[in-house]
Amino acid sequence: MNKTHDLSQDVLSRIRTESLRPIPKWRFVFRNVLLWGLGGFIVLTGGVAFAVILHIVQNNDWDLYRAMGQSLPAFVVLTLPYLWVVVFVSMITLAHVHVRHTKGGYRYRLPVLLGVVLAASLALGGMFARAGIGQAFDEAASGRFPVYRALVSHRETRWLRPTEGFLSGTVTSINPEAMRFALEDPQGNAWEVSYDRNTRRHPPFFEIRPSVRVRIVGQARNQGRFHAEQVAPWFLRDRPIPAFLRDLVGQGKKDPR
Amino acid sequence: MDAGREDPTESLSDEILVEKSLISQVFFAQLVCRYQQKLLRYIQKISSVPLQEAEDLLQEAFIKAYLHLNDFDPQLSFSSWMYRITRNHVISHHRKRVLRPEAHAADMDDDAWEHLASHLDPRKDADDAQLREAVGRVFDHMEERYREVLVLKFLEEKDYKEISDILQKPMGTVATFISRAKKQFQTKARDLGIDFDL
Repeated sequence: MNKTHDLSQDVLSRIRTESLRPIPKWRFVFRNVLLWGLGGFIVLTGGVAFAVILHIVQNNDWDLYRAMGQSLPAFVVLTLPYLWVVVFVSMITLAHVHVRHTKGGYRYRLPVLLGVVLAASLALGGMFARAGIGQAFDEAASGRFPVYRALVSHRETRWLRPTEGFLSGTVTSINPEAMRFALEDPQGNAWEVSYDRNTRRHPPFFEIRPSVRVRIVGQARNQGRFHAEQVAPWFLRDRPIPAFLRDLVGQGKKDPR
Repeated sequence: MDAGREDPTESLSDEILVEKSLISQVFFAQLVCRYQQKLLRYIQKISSVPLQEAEDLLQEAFIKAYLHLNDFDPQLSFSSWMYRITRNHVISHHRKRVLRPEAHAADMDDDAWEHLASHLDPRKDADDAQLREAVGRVFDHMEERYREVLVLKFLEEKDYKEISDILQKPMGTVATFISRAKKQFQTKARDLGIDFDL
């Protein structure tokens, strides 16, 4: 090894001549707060994405897909919310990369880190779904963005084919004696829907009442008339929208329940 | 520092010196004194730069460390933190020059060689100088990620936790790298006609 000279004096002299000072602590604290804020945002977005996936999957037409003439695998492939799955997977990946770059994040192995990030997002997403946040985001996006309706929320389109026997809308009034109810579809058209004792309800105790949104399988008859063979609620698991998100959904929603 | 007089800062721990360096640069000079030889050797083991360039690189690394003193994580040892800064600085310097760092293990000092030699079991008769030269050549033929864990483990005598903190990799990954690095070392050594066990 060659002989080296004392670097300490060189370093000290450079610090003095260039008037160098340690970067203030607040800048590192600020950077860490920003990093944790970004991390929180990523996990939160992942949670929302999972909540929307849960909402869409739970409220998919599992009870009536056979009436649409589809097999279960084909129905699953056609109705999976791919956009939200991509958002969710992207957020998990981002969160993993993010934690890896925090102080000490490098100490954990990939499966452990991914497991923790995934568990946090799933738990948060589950809570968000129960709180109605998944439904709120899906409805707001569906009401505001036609592209979203076309790409993700095809459900409405699926249930607006009266000539093919599929109709949805909000019940505006009901006449149980005449076994008829009035309905307004998402495009604002008024329908008079008849039913009889053979009309199946999903679930069997489902009660048709005003302001409830329903899906109907049946037959279109004369102008504005429809006969119901099967009736089901629009949402299999309808969650009350949290108060702080009502404005967001209200502005975007075309079809208030 | 005067050679004849005992320096009162010598008995202070690295972490105390870091705290005091935030108040006066003189304490930082003590940290530089403590680590300059080790880090200079480390730079030369992981790169092909001549001594003058290694000293320049180390000076830059110390200046970086000084500027980032407030970001020092007390959960790490100062040694691991300083090795990490030095390693990252050497890598970024090589990236700028679009050069792959090359080891000069043949230039290793006596202490490092003795430590490495205690782990080597040459199966051929070879004298010390030949072995050093052979080890240097083996190191030069190894993948960078494997060579650097061997340097840290066997030449710098770092434990798994310290290597994990320096390379910013999980300890399990470090263990895997060391195991693979040993295998690669033996394979390359065999290719060069010397049978080592590491």
